[in-house]
Amino acid sequence: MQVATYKIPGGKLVRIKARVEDGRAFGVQISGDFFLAPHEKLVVLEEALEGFSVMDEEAIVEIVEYVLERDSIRVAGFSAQDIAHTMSLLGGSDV
Amino acid sequence: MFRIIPTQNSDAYMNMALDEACMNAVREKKVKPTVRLFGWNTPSVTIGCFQCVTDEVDMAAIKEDNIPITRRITGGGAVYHDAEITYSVVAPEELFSKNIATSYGQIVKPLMQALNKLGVETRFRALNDVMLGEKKVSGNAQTRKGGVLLQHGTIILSVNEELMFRYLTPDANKNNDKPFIKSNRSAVAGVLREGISSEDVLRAVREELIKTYRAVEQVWSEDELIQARELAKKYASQEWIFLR
Repeated sequence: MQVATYKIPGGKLVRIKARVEDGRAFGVQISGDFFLAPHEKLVVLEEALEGFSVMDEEAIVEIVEYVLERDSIRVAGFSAQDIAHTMSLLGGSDV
Repeated sequence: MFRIIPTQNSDAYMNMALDEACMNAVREKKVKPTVRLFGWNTPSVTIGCFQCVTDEVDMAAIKEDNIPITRRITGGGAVYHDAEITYSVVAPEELFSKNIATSYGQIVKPLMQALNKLGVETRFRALNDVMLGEKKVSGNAQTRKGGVLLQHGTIILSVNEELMFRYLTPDANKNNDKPFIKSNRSAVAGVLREGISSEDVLRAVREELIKTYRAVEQVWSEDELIQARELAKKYASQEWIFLR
């Protein structure tokens, strides 16, 4: 399991834990002190990121924006770009 | 018009359960929009809905000192609840801004007005903090579900840093975008000072809430209490606390 932590300037802290295999993320877990409603929907976002290349920021931004809109999920404290950036930091320290 | 629940202390699990039961009752239009001030039977820790408990708290210290801990349904960070006044606002979403940052500001406004009347000049810092100088004196957290908004938060009376940082283990990066804060240890402060007692703060905040929301005092409904007692079991469960 890899972990990446990103304190968004002017925003919240986002931490992503995932297994990274061949550059792709599996078992993605997102945590942090951000706001997201309805709260049960974070898991939907996590599942949507399964198998994405951690360095493909464009694709990650696209899928995050798509899921947020499709499921009417409201967030404050991070953006799709912040998730993509945090994903790109995976491959850092082990948990 | 809102109702204001008489100020009372409960344990951490019941405090969180009452907020959720109240959300359900407001959604079903069984009760008026609600505001309340409350306390904690014993010092307790809550973590934000999306936080990983083992990242945020020292579970060994919490167990050793028998500190109640639970996970909120609201976002935000981990809180050590000790010398503070806690508030909740539960209302249909349309009573406040759709914009989350704006709604935080709207809901903390009466709290800030109350403090300002006591001579404690605070300011709102987006997303969800009330600041005295460069220190946070009120942290706030919100969720929305089924058209109902819950915002709860703290008004810190005084800070026991030794205990706070015995239980909380904030990430070293938490304040690295805030140039005035060298470490989390200096990031929070209380509002009490010479000439301002906790009773003064409680009275001022309560008066301001009643005025702002044209609130009338009412007790919990029987349905809310029954539901809250059930929900309290969830808030005390290891499954919920260790969800992340």
